[in-house]
Parts: sequence; structure tokens; C-alpha cells
Amino acid sequence: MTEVSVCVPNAPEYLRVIRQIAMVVGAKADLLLDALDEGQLASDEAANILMKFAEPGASLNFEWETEPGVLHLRARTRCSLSHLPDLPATLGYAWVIISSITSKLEIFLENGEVHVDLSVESAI
Amino acid sequence: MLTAGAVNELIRELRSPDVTAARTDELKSEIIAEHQGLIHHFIRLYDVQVVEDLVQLGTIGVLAAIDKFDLDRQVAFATFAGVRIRGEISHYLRDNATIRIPRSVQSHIKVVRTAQDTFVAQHNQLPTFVQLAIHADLNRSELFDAMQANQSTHLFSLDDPETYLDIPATHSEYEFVDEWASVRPAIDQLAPLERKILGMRFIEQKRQGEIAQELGMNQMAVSRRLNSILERLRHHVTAV
Repeated sequence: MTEVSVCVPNAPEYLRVIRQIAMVVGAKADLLLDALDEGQLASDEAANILMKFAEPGASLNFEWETEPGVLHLRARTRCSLSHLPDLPATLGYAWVIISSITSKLEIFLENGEVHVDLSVESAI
Repeated sequence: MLTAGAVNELIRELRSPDVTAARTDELKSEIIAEHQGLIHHFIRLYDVQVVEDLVQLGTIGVLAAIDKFDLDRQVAFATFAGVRIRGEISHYLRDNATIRIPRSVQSHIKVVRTAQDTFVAQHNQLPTFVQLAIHADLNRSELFDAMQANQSTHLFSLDDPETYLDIPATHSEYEFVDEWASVRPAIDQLAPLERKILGMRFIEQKRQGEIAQELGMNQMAVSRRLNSILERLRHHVTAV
């Protein structure tokens, strides 16, 4: 079930909003504190990835869902690329970070949009 | 690098009644240059990005130390100057912190840290958000505010014992992973404790709770450090 969805302009000043929403939604999923923190970080990194690939003028869309101990994020934006570049090489350390803190991570192109789908969960 | 005795000789010459204005400038410049490493050492202990401003303040600290240093006391000038440098920097940061946290929230941060520590001691694992709210006797809104304020505070006190943690090794693995190449200069600027935390999280793949336990820190402190580190790495990438 979608808990929260939000659409923001492609601008770094909105990253704080994304982090705050991730925290509120993650708290509702009753994540352990470190997973709650990493839910914010993962959402932040997802937003950065979208910003990197977004078409000029495209807005960024985020949908968070929860289940006990797990936070899911589906993020997407319009993208004019026909295929994604090599992600580890393109994203550099950001790739290491986002792939380290997520239990599921998919970045793909579909219908002219780049998608970042990820999950963060508490490790008990 | 000058010995303590050589620095004392420069100060002695500086105070000589015969010294010219040009020589005074020269001597002061030499002493300041000699203590740049010390200034940067203290700046690194604080987690800030206004390094240039702080270098100037550190220099003011060295100049004040030159004026006040007692050559007859058995104390190295660097030790005395360190106190002045630290004073200048900490006063500036205290008065110019960009984010001021209300006292009530500051007290909640302390309550939350204590509650988290006691929870971990009792249950041997981190609490969830709800568990922590109950344990700290705060409502959700108060806990949100405290946690957000904790993350927003990127100044670390020189009195914070974590600053002095002895870190035996750095992670040379950074040198061999291409993905870290773009941020290597920023990693090199991190304090040893920060490099250690970064390596434990993203190379050793340890959770924040494990890192906190291993380093004898609180998870909120690890979280705060990690957020600050990653913000600086990102800043480095966008700045180059």
C-alpha cells in the first residue's frame, strides 16, 4: 500500500524534503534506528540518481510503501536516454553507498522514464 | 620543522627592542607558517566546511599566543598556541553556528541518547522508532525533532571524547576500488575516526549498531558522523 507519494522539482533544495518524508514513513514501518537512518540516505541517493538522469524540466516522483520492518521506495522521472550507462562507473561512490544499504535495488528505463526501486529493511 | 627551542628563539628575537618592523613581520610569518599544521589539526577536529575562515582564526590564535607566551615557563610554544587556536575556533563556531538548536530539543537529544544506550544494554539490539519513543518518554513529534536535530548538528566538540578515539588503521581498500576514485581527495581529508567509520560501513558492510558497539559510541553519534561524511563527499563531487 502506498503510504506517501510526492512530486518535487528537479532541484537539490528539495532533497531535505525527501529525507524528511523517508524518515516519517520509515518510523511508521517501525524500522530499527539504523535502518530508519539508511532509509533516508537511500531515498536521498535515489533522488540524486534521478537528478542525474532527468530530462531538463522533468519533475521527480517518489512513492514510499511500508510493511513491518521494511521501507520500499519507487522513484522515477522522465529521461531521454535510450539505455542507461554502466551504473557503478557512472555513479561512482554513490553506487557503492546505495547498493550497500538496500536489500533490493533496481534501476531501469521504462516508457521514457528512469526508475529507481529500492527497499531498506531492519536486520534483526 | 623547527624545534621548540628554535621557536622560542624567534619569539625572543621578536621581543627584542632592536627588531625592525620588517623583521617583525618576517618572524611572525615564520612562526605562523610553522604552526599551520597545528591550525589544520584543530580545524579537522571540528566537522565544518568553512576551513578558510577557520585558518584565519587559527592564525589570530597563533598571533595572540606570540604576544602572551611566557618564555620562562617550561611549556612548548605549540602547546600554548594550541589552547589559543582552539579558543579562537570554538568561540567562532559557538557564535556563528548556522543551525541553532532550541534548548528543549538539545535536552531531548540527550534524553534520546541515554534512552538508546539503556535500551541497547537491556536488549542487546537497537530500538525501533516506537520503542525508542516509549523508552525516552517522548511523543513521536518530539522524537522526530530530536533525531533531525541530531543529524543537522555537524559540529563536533573538541571535548567530545570520540574525537580522540585511537584509530589503529585506515582502509587502504579505498585505493583499490574504482568507485571511490572520485572522492579520494575528500576521503584523505577525513579525520581517522571518520575514515574508520566510512570503511566499516561501506567496505566491511557493518551496520551502524555494530559500528557503534565496536567503537564504543552511540548509534546516533555514528549516524551523525556518517551523514556528515557523506555530505562532504557529495559536496566534493559537485564542487569538482
